Amino acid sequence: MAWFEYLLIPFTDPKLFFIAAFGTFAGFIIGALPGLSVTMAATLLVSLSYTWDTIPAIVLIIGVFFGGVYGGSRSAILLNIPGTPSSLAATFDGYPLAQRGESGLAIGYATVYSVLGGLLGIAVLATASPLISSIALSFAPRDYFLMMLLGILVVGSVGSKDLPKSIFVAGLGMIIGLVGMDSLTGVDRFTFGSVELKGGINFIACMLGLFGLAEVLHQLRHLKKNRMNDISGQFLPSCAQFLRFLPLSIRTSAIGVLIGSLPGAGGEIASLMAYDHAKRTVKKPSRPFGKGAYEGVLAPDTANMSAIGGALIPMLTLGIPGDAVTAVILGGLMIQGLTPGPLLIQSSPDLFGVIIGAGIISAVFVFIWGLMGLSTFARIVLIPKHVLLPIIAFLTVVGAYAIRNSVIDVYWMVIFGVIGYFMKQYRFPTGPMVLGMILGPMMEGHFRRAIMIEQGSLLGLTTSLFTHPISFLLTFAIVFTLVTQTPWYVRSKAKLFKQHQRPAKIE
Amino acid sequence: MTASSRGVPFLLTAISLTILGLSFNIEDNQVLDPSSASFFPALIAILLLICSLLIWRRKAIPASDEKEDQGSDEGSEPSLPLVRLVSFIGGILLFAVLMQVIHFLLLSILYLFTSMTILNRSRWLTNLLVAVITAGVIYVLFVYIFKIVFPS
Amino acid sequence: MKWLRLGTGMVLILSLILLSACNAPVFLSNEFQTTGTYPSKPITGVIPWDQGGTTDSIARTISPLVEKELGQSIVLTNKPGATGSIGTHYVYEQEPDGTHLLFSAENPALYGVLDISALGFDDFEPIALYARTMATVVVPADSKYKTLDDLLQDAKARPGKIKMGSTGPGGLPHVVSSMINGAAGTRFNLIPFPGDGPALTALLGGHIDATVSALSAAINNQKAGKVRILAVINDQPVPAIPDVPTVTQSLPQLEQHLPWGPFFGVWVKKGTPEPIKAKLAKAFAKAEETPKFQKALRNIGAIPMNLHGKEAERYWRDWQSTTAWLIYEGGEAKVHPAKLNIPKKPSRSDQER
Repeated sequence: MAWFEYLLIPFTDPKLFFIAAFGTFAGFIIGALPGLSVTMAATLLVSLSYTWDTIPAIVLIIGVFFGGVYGGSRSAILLNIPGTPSSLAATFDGYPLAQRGESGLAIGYATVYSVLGGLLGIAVLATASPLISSIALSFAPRDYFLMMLLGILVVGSVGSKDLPKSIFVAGLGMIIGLVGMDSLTGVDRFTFGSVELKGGINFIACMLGLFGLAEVLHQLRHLKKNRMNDISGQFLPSCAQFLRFLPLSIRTSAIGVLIGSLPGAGGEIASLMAYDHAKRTVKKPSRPFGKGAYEGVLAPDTANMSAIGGALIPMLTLGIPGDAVTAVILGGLMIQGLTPGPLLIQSSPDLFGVIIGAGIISAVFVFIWGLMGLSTFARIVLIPKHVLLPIIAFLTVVGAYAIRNSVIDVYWMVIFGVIGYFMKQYRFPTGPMVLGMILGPMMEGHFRRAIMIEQGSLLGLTTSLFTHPISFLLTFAIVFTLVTQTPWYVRSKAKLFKQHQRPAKIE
Repeated sequence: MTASSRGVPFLLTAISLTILGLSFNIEDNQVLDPSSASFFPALIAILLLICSLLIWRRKAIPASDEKEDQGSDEGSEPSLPLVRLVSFIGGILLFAVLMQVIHFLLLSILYLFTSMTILNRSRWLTNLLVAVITAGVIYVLFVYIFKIVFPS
Repeated sequence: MKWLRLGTGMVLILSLILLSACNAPVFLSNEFQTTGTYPSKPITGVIPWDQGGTTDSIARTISPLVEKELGQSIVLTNKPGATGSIGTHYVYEQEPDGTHLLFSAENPALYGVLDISALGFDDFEPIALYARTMATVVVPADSKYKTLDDLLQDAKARPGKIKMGSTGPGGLPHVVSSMINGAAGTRFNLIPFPGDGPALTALLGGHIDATVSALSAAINNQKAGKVRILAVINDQPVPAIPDVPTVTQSLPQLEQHLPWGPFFGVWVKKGTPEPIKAKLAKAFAKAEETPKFQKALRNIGAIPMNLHGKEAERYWRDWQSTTAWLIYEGGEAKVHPAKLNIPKKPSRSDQER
């Protein structure tokens, strides 16, 4: 606990305090603008830090990290553009809420529970990181595969009621995700000999198209009519509401920390799993999920914020990045002469303490910046369509370009925008497609690694599913999820709990 | 459901078959070897095929919850004029193409202003102001702070 | 009438914007680049790998130092994908006027043999090769393998059963295991991971038996008692870990390939005018000599090289010859190295004869 005395440094040093506050604000803007990522900002800041001291640079990056993950939900709720991949799930219920005129309340929920999730993540980082990192290490490729499979089953929650359509779209997304050079063997798949396709189709560009642009095209049909005249004046959940959703948010935070701590799986998977968890466990949502349930807003937001603390765990305890941002931080630490690795906490307790302190400050500033100007932000949905729609379209173009400084990504964005428009037209859900694109390639890689570890035998893989505790738990969860989605189970459950099926109203 | 929606299941089946065919043609890989590069795509292609057939069947007997879905959403939506859709998409594509020729700031002001004005002709001065401010803020933010290199 | 007013208004505004645009020099793209005033506009540095990797870290350390020498800014952008070939291709598409630099690692030298891209280092010219790193063979700390010989013997006894972490074709573990296989007659079950970080993670979790890791990561984990380094892939012991044997102590026939390891440098497209190359090379040479850069390299466990021009050319060609034929002999090449005009280095035993 040598780091504990350093915890207070960012609080007492006004310079560091200011840096954390500023970083959170900058991150907020980065996260809210599509195409700008926290990874990008962290890279710039790390190079800046070569002329700075390590501590202020790290504090700044932590601030940007928190602000950025939070900021993503802002554009997801207001414009249906996920500012970052991890805020994808925030569009499912956040955007419908905003369309109902409750944009302020949606942001309020997102903010309050983001702070809670962020703080819980930091708390786990401070107290249980050795434990969590040993759990993360014991995840074999086979367990990653099972986890991704469990993630794919989320389509049952995010898709429409028409399951074959959702599965089709998710499968297509997986195939699109596989386009390019296979990283395991180096062969080309579905590239048709094109050099550009070798690098794969960028899923963030596709996401901007399928969500942002497709929604713009969809809205073009009723330009004149604004669906509402004013927005609801309530911005913050009441105390009773806060307490009501507290148990759920603690569960989703736990999901976030755990998944965030797995190297290679981050906020984007955590938030989807959290959404799924909420949809499965909440018997009486405030509104049906997908139509503006508060639970559907707060579950993904707590999870992706607590995933920050999770992602820092393997970075600080093992010297292994939990996600792209921590990879950049690690690179920076090494250049600075610090040796990231299992000894980091012992050799530089100050760093560990400062990171935790900065995390707490950043979470608090997420609250402050998040609520500042909230009423102005909430009114974005009232901007006349003829002004708003071109701006959103413009943002999707700039965002798609900025991902890799590539015009090709803009073309992909437009193509997927058109595809998304027609999918909406024929009532195909777009969410599962992005889900497939994110999870498909990872799932495939882990599956093949798992098979290779078993010397290429499917039988060997199947037996090890039952001989390892983590694998067994995950297999059980998958079987349970599959069974609960079968029609006979749903029907028998409906009979049993008939009176609970009606969604309760809250005011 | 209009007449054109009958083509949808057909399209889906065609897509699945194409993907299945392509997966069998992935360079030096055995589809039956689970660790090869073509096993997984082929597996998904078969899944897609099954789903497309299910959708095909479902279309013959319309599902009851689908109707309910439609009703609760918007009621009767005005259909989008094809001209507006095509010209809007064309505008964005033109923006992407011209990005490589015309300076980005100039182009984005032009794009924002013209598309806003086409959508609502009466308030061009406000449109111009909004266009200049939006494009300017985004440009400064992306180029000077985030070091994004625009093609021209 | 309304239409007319609107039309004139728009034309007026447009012409105003265009006029102001023409006056500002920033707006002139594709301006003529004379070598005398080079660099007259910001240089774009393309990193064909993700943020946070070694290629990225080194590029971001050296470029501010080079900026100072050139008096012009270098804007770095990452264009990752397909073993670095996407970014490489991008730089190749630009004019050869020194405005686009490729901050690459060794990979393009192997694009031909592995059939990753039609391009390769033959289409570029090296400005500077600034550093190289070294590889190590590591096993978990509680592994039954105490020495490299233990590992090799077991691999010989159970061919294809020892799980070795890899990073895909052409990656560090892949080449090193080809090297070892060729010399010791072993065969490993290579499990490809998306990078050496994930491979090391799997090793720490005990999901694979051994992996080949970069020196710095291996040292940090050994100090913490998490892994055991069986050997460094070098012909001389490394000062930071003097007790760890070199691979040549077990397999002396590997000496002909050593020293071997990934290298990092900066390239321009072939056909870039000589004065521009000279100016860039001078700026990079000065930046490389700064104590700051040297210290940064030491921190990430890299060895400074400072090679330019002909020397750099010779270095990568030599490296390519060694590695391409090693991969070919390991049976992993997709295109025969001779077809790509990669000469085979006479092995040292041949020379002595």
